[in-house]
Amino acid sequence: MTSGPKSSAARKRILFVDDDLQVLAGLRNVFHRDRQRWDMVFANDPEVALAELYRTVFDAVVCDMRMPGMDGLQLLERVREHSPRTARVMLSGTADREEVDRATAAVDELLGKPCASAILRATLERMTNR
Amino acid sequence: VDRRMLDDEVGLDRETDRMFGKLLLAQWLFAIVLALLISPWITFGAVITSLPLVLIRERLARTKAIVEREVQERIEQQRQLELELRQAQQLESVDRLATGVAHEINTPLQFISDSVEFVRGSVGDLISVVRQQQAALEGVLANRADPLAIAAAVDASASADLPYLADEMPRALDRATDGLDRVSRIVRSMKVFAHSRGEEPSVDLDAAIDSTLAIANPIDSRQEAAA
Repeated sequence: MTSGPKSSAARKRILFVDDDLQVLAGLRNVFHRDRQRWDMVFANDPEVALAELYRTVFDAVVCDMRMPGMDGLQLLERVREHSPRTARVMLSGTADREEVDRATAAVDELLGKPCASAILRATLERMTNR
Repeated sequence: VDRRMLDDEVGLDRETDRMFGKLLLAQWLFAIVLALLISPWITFGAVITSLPLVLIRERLARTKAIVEREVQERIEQQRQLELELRQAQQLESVDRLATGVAHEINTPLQFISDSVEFVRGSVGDLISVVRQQQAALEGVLANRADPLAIAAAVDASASADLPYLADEMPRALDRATDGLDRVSRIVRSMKVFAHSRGEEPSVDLDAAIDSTLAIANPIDSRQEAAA
């Protein structure tokens, strides 16, 4: 599900994970204009996301909190273990205090849904250029 | 504490108290009669022996009042605790419901926002392409074809990725509409759900089950919405 055929050394690899296909489609649309500089992979299943992560190195992972099977925190913990340099962004649909508290260790940046694409874009730029 | 048992206890206590009072009165009467009949010495003795009884009675009454107040306070405390516990439980379930509903509403809001944002940007790109094509075309029509203007129009068209926009813009609008449907369905379900918990004389069972499922089982309703 990679978008954008061009490749260069400066291109960043970003993985988006959400169990809701509509959310993924919206993200894919809105970041289409970033296709020249970002290689983007969209996974609607945490297991598929993990397989992608073991296959290649990503500069950033953006994932949903509530997903069936493995939740976003568990996935980001695995990302941290596997590739600590990958930036981890949580895009959560709930402002649950417990979730936020638990999130602090595994998550570099916690953003609430709905998150404006400009904010997510700026966050990803900042985190992939560290 | 069983309220009824306590009331019984207090009732018995009052009975004892009354009997005690009668006994004391009888003793005083007896003493006066004796005094009249026999001698002042015996009267004096009777009064003296009854004095401790009066003191004990006072003491008992005070103790009883303290115990009663204490028990009353304990009962009140327990009631308060039960009330607080019930309120906390209600708040917790409201909190959980609100969190679930927030997730179910914020998810469509995310893709509505992204889809609309994408269409807005794409419309801007399209207008820019049209303007550049128009400028190039005007030159051609006036027999003064401007190669730079034509190249710019071709570039603008390529960077806008017209085939992608043609495929994706209608989809994005459909997605935004679906998202709005999803949000309004959840809000509607919440209303039906809230009403069905009240004292409604007649209930539409089908609607009640649908709305409960929509709230309790968001994944199913989501899959249905995605399908």
